[in-house]
Amino acid sequence: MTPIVGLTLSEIPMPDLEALIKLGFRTFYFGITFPEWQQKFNRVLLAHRDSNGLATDFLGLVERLAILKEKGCQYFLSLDAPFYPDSESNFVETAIQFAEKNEVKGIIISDLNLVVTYTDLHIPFYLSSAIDIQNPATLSVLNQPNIKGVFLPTKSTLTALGQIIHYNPNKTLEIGLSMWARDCLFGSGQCQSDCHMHRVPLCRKVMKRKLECDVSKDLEFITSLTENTGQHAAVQPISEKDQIRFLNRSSYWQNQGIAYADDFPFECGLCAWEKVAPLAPQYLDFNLSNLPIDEIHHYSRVIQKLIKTENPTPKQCQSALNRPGMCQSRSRCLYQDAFETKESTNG
Amino acid sequence: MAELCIVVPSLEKAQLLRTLTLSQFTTTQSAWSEYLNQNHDANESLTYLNDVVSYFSETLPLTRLYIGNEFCERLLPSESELRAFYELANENKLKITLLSAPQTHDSIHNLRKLLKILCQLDPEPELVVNDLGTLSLISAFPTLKPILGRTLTTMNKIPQMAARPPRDLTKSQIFAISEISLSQEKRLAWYKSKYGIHRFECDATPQRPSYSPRKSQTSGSLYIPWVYLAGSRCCELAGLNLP
Repeated sequence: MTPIVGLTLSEIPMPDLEALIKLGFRTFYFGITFPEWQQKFNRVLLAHRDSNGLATDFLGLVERLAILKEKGCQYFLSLDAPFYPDSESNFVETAIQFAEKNEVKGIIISDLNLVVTYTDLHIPFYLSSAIDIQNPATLSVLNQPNIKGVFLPTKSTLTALGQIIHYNPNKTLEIGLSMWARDCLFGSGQCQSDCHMHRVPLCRKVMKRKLECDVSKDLEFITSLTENTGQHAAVQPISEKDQIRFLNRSSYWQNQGIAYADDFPFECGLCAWEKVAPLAPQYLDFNLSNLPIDEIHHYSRVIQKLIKTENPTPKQCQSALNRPGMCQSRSRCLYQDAFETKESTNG
Repeated sequence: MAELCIVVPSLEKAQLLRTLTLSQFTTTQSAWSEYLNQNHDANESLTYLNDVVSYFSETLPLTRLYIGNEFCERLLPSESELRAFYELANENKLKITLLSAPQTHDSIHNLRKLLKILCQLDPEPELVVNDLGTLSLISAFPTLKPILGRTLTTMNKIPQMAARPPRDLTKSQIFAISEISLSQEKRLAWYKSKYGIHRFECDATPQRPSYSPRKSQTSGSLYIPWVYLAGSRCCELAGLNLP
């Protein structure tokens, strides 16, 4: 089976979109941010990240979708904030109506509440990698008529991914893998520069605060809270110094690239091709959303070259990727630069 | 009736913590590697755990032990550890709750074996579920009381707000960060009706979560002081002795 390669549709200029279609892309993903959300939440919500495939220009989006439809491409609405509170249900309704009207192939979600709420939609749901499916049993639990496909998590091992695909109890379910074009040092899928640039200076602040605080007062507070609310509290018997040291070392080791150890398959989405292709997923989503357009062009050429090569050998993969400055070592350097700049800025 | 619980680590982690305590937290890489390569006596760990439980029992009205691990399937207790924990809990007149992590296909079978033992030992067994696939095991154990773990509870946990939310947040921003998946009525109803889950766990974040156990006719669990932020296959303990 030839995998379908998707591209997350950022607010790409129209000529670039047409160029990408010419390059052979046939599957696209898009998200929606409502102007009200920007005004209301500003930059507080994690789901609101600029240039992350979230379209705010509805007319522009409709125009792009019309082109995709005309060219025979399929496109998905990505409605995958971790959860949409009940108070936001009207926004979700609007997004779903937009999707129905524009004939999207599916809606990618990570909020289970949508699955149990919208049980009779014409458009099927595809579960995002953020649902974190670790075993085939989860596919049984989520065997709902309105779920047509799943994207497996990027932090699983190749073994775990293989087992999920092999023992999938629902053979009609479409299974996809989502990979980042740039490597992501955290398995969480958070943007590496965004996460790391804040992480270490923050740890130091937390450390300072934690060392100064009085734990017994926290415990007294929690005890009184549980007495009042009937809640169930758990206290972890680990010293503050110990936790802080773990936190600090964790950052240190992640900086050193421990995330590349073992059979971690997603050290770089493209480098992982040779490992992931034999698993034969139905979708391979290369998330290129934070890349500038010239890099998207580069990646698209590489991906197309690989797709045309049946059962690519490691050598062919390496050869296709052989572009100075775009391998994982550069990504590490980019991260290192960002880290050092932030460090020096913080004095 | 409120309960106060303590999370006890696995024996392996307990050994590690004990050594850290004894060596006054010397954490050079060579010291860690040396430690990890040593063999350790399980009795030492039980003694350590006994000390921990006794210490907390004296200072807090503890009622329950949480055993196992919420984040790493490899830190599930072994069968003998589970029995040892149960004895420890009995001696201290405490109940036990088994914590399970996101489980892969292989480890979910190990969990099934543990649950069989747990249900034989304990007339009121509790399991914290941190993986949707684990829910598929519940129907086989009618006496088991499932609890939804915090990795399945989505709430806004923003590192920049580790100490307290910034002072200049608007009302709508405070409202936004306080939202939690447990405030979704249909999601709660799905867990309750399909899997009989009535207790939901969450973290104690600086902003007050909008979840109200009383209003939703559920029970809640609150973890302090540490908050779950993100999962990773990059394990600081397992990776420390790597070159």
